[in-house]
Amino acid sequence: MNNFEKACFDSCEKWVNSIEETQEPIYSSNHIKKMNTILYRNRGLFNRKTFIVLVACILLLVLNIVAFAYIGSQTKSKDLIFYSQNPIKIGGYESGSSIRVRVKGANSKNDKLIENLEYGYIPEGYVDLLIDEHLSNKYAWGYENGKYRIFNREFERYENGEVADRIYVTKVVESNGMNVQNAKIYTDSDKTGEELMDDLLNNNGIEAVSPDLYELMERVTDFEENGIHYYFIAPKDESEMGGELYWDYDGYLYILTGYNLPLEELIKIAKDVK
Amino acid sequence: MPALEKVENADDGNLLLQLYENYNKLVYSLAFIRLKNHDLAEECVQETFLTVVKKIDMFKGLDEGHRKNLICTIARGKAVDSIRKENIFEFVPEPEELDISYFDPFQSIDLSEQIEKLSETEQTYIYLKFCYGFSNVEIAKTFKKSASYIGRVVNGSLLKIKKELEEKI
Repeated sequence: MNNFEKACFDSCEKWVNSIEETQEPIYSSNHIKKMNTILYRNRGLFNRKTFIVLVACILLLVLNIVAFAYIGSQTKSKDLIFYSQNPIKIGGYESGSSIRVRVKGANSKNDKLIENLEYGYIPEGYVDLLIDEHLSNKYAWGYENGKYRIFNREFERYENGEVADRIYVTKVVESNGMNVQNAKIYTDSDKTGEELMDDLLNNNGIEAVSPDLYELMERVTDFEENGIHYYFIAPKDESEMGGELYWDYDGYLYILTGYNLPLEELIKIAKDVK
Repeated sequence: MPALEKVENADDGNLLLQLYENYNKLVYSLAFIRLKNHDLAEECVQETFLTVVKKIDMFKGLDEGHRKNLICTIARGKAVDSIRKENIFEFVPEPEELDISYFDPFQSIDLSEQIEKLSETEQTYIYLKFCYGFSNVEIAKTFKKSASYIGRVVNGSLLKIKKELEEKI
């Protein structure tokens, strides 16, 4: 380092040490969103791109399951167990009651009932649908072929005899071509989230409309509590409560969706899920 | 906000987060003192950390003190830029080239004194160039100027220091 460079360092340091912090800045929500996008775009166990792709996959997976549940509910009154040897094809998911689903190579020989999730905390007024005999088609269910399992359990709250809102928890163990490990492979490429999604869909033989990944990304924040890393997807409308909470624990990815519940309540439920 | 850059791995991401946690208030304060405007100060924080993302590799090789200095230097440049956004056609004459070895015979304390007399913009460019090894092109990209403009400002600053020192002798 020559004289001039040393003088630059000294002068710079002197100036920086003279800066006085003003009072604690109160950042706007817009600023926080922008900073979250800058800071969390690629970080942690699930980096941001992985997480978004994973969430998009899960959305598709849930879409599949909803379609299955619809068909299953027409024919079974007990536990719903599904099995699919090959990737599922979604022909279309239209508004109203029209759902068209095509399953290739379905085989029930290896069906296996998925164990239930256990909960320690359920908000007051909510009914566990798993034990509600009046809603016998709402069982915890999933399907398994050694690679592809989902746990799901729902709670509903009644007001004046009508369903007011719902919480459901999903536990993803493994999924065929959509699991965490596979999603991570994609993060090494230079592709955009949309391109990754296209790849993922094409490689797995699934045809569906990709969610708007960038819009989704804007709504994601993450935080840590008791050593567990949580991702929270806020509702589209900022004034609404609810949202989706994702967390990775002991090798499983958990998804908790709650409508009309504040984040604090979601966290309380999440803490006691086993 | 300009197109988003990204860090390449979790370690870089953690470093970025750590830098933000340590220095966002300082950057905000520095910007707010100059800009007297909360929204512009927030924008300065965003712009500063976008530059940090682009230069994250450089931060990995610096100790904490130098990380702080570099972030503040970038932030000051962004804040000054924000004030001068309207004056983008500012003319700076072409000065003669001066090699910094010219300053070798001088005491660094005298040189520091002269550097502190420079304008904030001049100091920002000088710090980035001679403390952190930014090229004129890199400084130009950071502050959306032309490289030749940066070159003229840097050379002009060196000549100012030279003149002051010669007058003292």
